[in-house]
Amino acid sequence: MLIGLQTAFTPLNIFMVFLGCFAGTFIGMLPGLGPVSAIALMIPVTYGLDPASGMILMAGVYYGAVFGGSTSAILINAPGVSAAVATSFDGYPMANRGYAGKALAIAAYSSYSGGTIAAVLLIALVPFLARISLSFQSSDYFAMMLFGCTAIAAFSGKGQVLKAIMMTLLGLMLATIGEDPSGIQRFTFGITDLYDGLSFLLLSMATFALAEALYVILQSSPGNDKAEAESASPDSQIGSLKVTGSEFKEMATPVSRSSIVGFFVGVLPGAGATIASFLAYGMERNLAKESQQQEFGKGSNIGLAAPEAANNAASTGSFVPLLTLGIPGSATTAIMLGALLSYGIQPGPRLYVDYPTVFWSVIISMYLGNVVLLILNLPLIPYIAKILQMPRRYLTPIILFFSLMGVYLVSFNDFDLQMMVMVGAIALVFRLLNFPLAPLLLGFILGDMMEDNLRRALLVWDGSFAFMWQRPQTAIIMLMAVGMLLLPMLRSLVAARRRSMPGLD
Amino acid sequence: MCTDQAWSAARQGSRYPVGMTCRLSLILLFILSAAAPPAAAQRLHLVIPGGAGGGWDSTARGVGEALSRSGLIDVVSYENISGGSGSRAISHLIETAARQDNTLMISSSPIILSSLRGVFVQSFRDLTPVAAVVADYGAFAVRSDSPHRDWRSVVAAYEDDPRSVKFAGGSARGSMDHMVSALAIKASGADPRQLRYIPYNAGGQAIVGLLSGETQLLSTGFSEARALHEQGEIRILAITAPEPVAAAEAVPTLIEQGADMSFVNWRGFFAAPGFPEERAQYYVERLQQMFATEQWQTIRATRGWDDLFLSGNDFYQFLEQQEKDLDAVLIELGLKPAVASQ
Amino acid sequence: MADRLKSLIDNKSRLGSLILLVFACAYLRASLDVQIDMTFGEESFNSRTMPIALAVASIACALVQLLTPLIGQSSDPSTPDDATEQFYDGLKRANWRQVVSLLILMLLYTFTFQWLGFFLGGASFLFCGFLLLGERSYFTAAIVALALVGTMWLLLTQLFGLFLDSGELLRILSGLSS
Repeated sequence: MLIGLQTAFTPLNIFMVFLGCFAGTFIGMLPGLGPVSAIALMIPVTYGLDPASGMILMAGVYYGAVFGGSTSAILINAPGVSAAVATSFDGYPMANRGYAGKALAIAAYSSYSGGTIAAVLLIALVPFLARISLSFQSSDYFAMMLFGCTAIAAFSGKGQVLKAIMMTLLGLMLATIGEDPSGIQRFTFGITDLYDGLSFLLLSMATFALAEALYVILQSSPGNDKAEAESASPDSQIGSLKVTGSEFKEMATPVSRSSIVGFFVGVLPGAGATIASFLAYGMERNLAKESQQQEFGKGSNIGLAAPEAANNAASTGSFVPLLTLGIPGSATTAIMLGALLSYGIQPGPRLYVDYPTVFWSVIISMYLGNVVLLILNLPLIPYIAKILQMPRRYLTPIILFFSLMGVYLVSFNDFDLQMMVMVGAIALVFRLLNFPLAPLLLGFILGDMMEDNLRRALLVWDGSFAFMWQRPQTAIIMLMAVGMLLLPMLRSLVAARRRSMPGLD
Repeated sequence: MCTDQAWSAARQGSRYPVGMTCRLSLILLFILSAAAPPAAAQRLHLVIPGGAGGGWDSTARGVGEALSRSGLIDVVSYENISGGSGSRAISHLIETAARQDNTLMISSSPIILSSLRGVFVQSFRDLTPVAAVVADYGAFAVRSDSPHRDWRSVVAAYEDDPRSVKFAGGSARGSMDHMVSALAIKASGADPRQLRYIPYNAGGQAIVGLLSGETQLLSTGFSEARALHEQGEIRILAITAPEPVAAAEAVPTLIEQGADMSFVNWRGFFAAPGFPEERAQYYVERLQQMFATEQWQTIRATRGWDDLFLSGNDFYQFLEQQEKDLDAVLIELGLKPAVASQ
Repeated sequence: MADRLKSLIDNKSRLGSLILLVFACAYLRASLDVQIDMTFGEESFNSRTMPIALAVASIACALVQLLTPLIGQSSDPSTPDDATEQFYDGLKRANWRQVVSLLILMLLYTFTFQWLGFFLGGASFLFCGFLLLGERSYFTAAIVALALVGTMWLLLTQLFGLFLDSGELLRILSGLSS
């Protein structure tokens, strides 16, 4: 481990990690270019470097891109990667209220904390983790997706329960478009462009970025430059990073809890950072005090910090199956595996035993990426946040252009662009009718994995649903999901009883 | 950050118009010069029918990297055209055939399957097959603590109860991993229609499925399973190569274990229809020269690929034979739509 | 009764549910046409099961939302609540002109993409967008648009080596020169 430290702290490597973080943040901010593309784009650049420096550069790029994704999710409601969706739930409303700098700072602090806690867990538990990552089967993943759905509770405020459920169902329906696990085309109507289904990016850009940008325009009065000038006038808050002590205190427990949950979810090859962020968001919302619950979805500190911490912890956790088993659990780790292989590192059970130096320097460089990101980005935040001070007449077309460009960069298909504009227009209608769009995206993301895992579980269990009670892991997770849904009800029941019996107080 | 930049540029623009105009004309000049393609011959444009980071993508970029770094071809550019399980790239190539004299498209065995299953209307016959460059073989593996020590014992267990050996694969039903399993079972004299195939989203996920104890057998590409086999996590029982491969000589082939079946998942290059003969010849030569380069040897070794060189008529006949084999098993499994539905 | 039916559309929750109901019905119809692979194990759960379940659940939810006012609150269900009134009022005063023109602009961009390509298409999209939203100086709008798209183009193609379509138009132009 000490040798690993030595390798990491040469001036060249420190420079590399800075360079990587900077490039990664920039790439990640462009919707459509997430960590996967960022790493894919950087691999040719690192060919000439020695493995350690190359690995460190990659780590910087990786964490930079993850943070860059959160930045665009917070500032312009454009989550370019699915792991950043939960970040925009509360990050964007907070930025919208004029606290963009604070939102970015909270994101930076909590992802740093998530990364740190995950690194500690990783070092402490490494010998056991490989076994944990293999302990989950399809039926357990299915139960976990159900658990993830409990996050929609956060969007079901007064009279909104039914609407949130309907939008989740709509998302689940959209997810069924394309080829299903048995190789059958569904709802493609012979259009080849639909064979692979709608892409996540298309839907998230259309329902989040596009619908929101247009909604803002709709509410503004045309040609009224004075009002615009006022709203764009330098706001002392926008670039401010200030988070008060009591706010830190309020977030401390949720962040540590989310980091631990996020880490273990990340360790599971079939789950990953997206699920982790949803789980953390749903869990913290349900565990929060009633007064804090009201804030969720409107710019809650906890609602922003929890998914950010979980997301980053899960990203660290996802290196466990990669490094200890050589199995890539996600697209990101798959591309990382490619990078490692090109440096001549073959991850697997032997790596940890036979080449501990390599193993530890990989882990240390990952952590170094995390630290540098915080050092590099905190001073930059005020400037990044000032993007929002751009006049609307510039900002809106630029947001629209970047959303379109992001979708194009993923598929290079102009059919997707047309589809996106249409979906965006429909999403705007729902936005106007006060239907929450977040559950739609959540349903869409979870939908595919839910059906895949359910059908796989049924095949494994020869068509029987017995896994729901016969497999303890599955049963426990399902019970937890039900518990999460019932918890608020139980609470209000208890509160009502207290009120009816004043003697107890 | 770039939006920030543009914003300050906007403000500067109104104040210092002259400087901006210069910059603008420079940019325009640059774009126009880049849009005009340099003289042909030393150029190769690779079309990839899937997204960045996938199997086609990494092969194409690996080949392109070897070609350009060994100086065989000056400029290699890449274009990802995903969609329609690869059919969008094919239609693009056909539609724009007139200006694709420097373009090759990467493809692999699934193109044959997709055509057969009617996923898309085109087949390899609509393109000009240029050359196959890489071979990957199917591999069947079990967990290292599995009671099965060879392929015969798997077949015996299968004949006893097909449910006791569920096959995990990294792609949907009716695609490569599934077909290879069915072909192997059929060649072993058992009924492939009883096959329990569990589809996963990717090869890595299928390996997890095997290791978590959910399935008993894994059907995947040899290159994907090799590393774990060497590290003792899984045991490859059989490989679908015609004879043992250099990377793992101890692994027996199916043929050696009494199942007369071999299957090559080739990866190769195609060109637009009506591709000039001398252009095809030029690229075939370059690709052939590439095999000897050190750069290619490194890339090939890290990915666990086997060299396979087929060009011209040989390649075409090879494709036809594979199409025939797959067609037979698709029909037997009842997976082929009866005479192209609709 | 007519008043009650009218109440279906003068409340935004119900209007939204109506849209979803129509969608779910169409989706249900389409899911009955989904092929089933008979060889896929002995499962009761096939390619249609999940879509049908989703459609039925959606229809049920939408109906509950739609029909609640028709059954309950018998006193005077047709009176729209204040919020809804405000909403319709807001809709009338909303900035439809700019939103619709932006939507049309985006559609134009997507349909001309093949001809104009990344650079020209993007620059003209931004240029028109700036002007539509009230930028008065053509010059500034053009500069910002070109600078932004130019920077992106340079970064993506030169630094990251991505291939961006330069468009049919430029191809014809450059084809003439070479």
